[in-house]
Amino acid sequence: MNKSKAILKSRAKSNALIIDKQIDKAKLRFLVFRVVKEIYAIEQKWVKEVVKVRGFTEIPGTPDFVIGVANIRGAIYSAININRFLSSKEYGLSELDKVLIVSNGVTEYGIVADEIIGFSDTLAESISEMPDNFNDIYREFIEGICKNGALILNGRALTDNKKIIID
Amino acid sequence: MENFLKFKTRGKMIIGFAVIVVATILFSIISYTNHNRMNRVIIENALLDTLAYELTGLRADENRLRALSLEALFYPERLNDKLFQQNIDLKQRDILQKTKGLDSLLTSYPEQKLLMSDLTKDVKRYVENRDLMISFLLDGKEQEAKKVVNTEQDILYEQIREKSIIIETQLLEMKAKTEALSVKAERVVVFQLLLLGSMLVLLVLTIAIWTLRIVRKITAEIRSGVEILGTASSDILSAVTEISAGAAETATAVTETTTTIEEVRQTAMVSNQKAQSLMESSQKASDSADKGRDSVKKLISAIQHIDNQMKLISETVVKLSEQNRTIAEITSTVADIADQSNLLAVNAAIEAAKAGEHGRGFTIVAQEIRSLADQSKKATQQVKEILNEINKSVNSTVGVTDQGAKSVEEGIHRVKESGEVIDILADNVEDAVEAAIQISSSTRQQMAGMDQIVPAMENIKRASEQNVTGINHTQDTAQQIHLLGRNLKTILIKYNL
Repeated sequence: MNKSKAILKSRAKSNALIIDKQIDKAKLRFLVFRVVKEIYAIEQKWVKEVVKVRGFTEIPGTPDFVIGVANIRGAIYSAININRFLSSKEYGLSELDKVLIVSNGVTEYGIVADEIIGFSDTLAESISEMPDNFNDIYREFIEGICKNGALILNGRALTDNKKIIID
Repeated sequence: MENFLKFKTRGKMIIGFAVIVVATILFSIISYTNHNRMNRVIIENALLDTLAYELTGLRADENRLRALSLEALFYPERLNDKLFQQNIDLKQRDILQKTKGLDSLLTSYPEQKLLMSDLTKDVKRYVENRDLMISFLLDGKEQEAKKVVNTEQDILYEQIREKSIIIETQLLEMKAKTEALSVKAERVVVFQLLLLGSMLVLLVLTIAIWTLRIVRKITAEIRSGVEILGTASSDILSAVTEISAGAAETATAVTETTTTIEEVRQTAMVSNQKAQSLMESSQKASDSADKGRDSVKKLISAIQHIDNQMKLISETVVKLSEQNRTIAEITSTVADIADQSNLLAVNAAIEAAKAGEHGRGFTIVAQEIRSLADQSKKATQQVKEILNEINKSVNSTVGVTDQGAKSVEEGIHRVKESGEVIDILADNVEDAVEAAIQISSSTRQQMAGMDQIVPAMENIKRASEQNVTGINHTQDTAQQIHLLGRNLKTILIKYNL
């Protein structure tokens, strides 16, 4: 507990420092989440909300990465599995009962996740370019890769690229 | 025939030879009688011949005498001659003698004898008359002499002649008859002899052939018998040799057995002692079994107590398990709440970010809430883990108590079994005591028996030794039999039988 508190304190301090730095360096804040084994991060401004969903209604005739639709507080959202979209192999058991609703103000949809790990302010410092052998088709959706292996998702691409947005 | 076949060969042969002997005797008798018959015929013939001859002689003599008497009648001076007188006397005597001889010879012919006696009377009268005539002549009474001759002498002469001729002819007839008969008889005799002789020869030949065949058969059987004897004797010899070896082995075995019996006797003594000690120990064991029975009863009550306690433990553990499950449910609810709180905190942070500078403080609060939610989640996780551990322990406890209960039941069962076993043991021990007593008495009997066996074994030993000598004797005998067989064989070969 004390350790946690200490961590919280240090984090509070660092956060306080970030605000100052953000003004200076315009530091970015990322929401980190896990889908099965893959860790992803997305800039916080693209995330509208995080909710827990009990089940999805499958829609026939949609690509396989579209899991289905769900009713969240009266509004209908479609939900995708980002792992399937990026052709990442799926291993192990998953609950996928949490949904990040991404939004650019116009388009809104859900990305399913097993776990919301939390926010990170220091992630941007360790971003590096993707290796050259990465599939070019999806390169535009990935901004980079962190040292801890988290893939940084491009919120803009996710919300308006035709490859993912189906009307 | 069958009865005949049943006779012994010796009997058959004796009978055969007897038949030959009888036949020969019969043949001899028949020959002898035939010979006799023939002989008699010949003698009779000779007799008849003699008689005829004598009668002829008589007649001649009479003629001569008549001639002489006639001469004397016509020439009486001749009577002075002494020689003449002597001659007449000689003839007279001859005639008388002959008549006498004929009379004696004719004894077997009565008819002729009667005639002869008449003739003899006539002859006597004739002789007397002649003497009278001669005396007349000597006295010179010639007339009277002639008268005698003419009256009586001529008649007598004729009568004598006729009678003698009658007798002779009769005799000659008889002779011819007998001769004819004798020829016939001779033929019969010859035929009989030939027939009987050939029959005898045939009989002898038959018996000889039959005897030869029997002898051949016997020798063939003897030969095969000799062969068998040879092989059998060699078999006997080898068998006897084996028996001899066996007898020797028996002798050694008997010696060994004697020593073994001595050992067995000592063992029996030891057994007796052991049986005594067994009796004592069995008695002790019986006491121990009684004690064991009591102990088992106590043990059963103690185990039943344990069983009750085990049941109590089991119930308690079950209750504990249920309570644990309730706690787990509560913990999972708490974990859910923490999860929800976490999401809420994230949303709050997002909302705070949207609020910009004004929401900065709220962001921190949201972060704190998130960290609290994390902590509570971790805590629930820990509680879950602990509960899992407890659950495992409870489960293992349940299993262990179940096993314990089962073990206790089994224990009760076992103890009961032990009790039964001890009961049986006690019975067995009692039986053992009795058995030990019996063993003791029987070992004593055994020892007595052993004492009897020792001299018996001595006897057996002696007998086996006698056996050995007897077998050696038998071996010699078998050797002799073997030799005998060989000798018989050589004899058979030698005589080419």
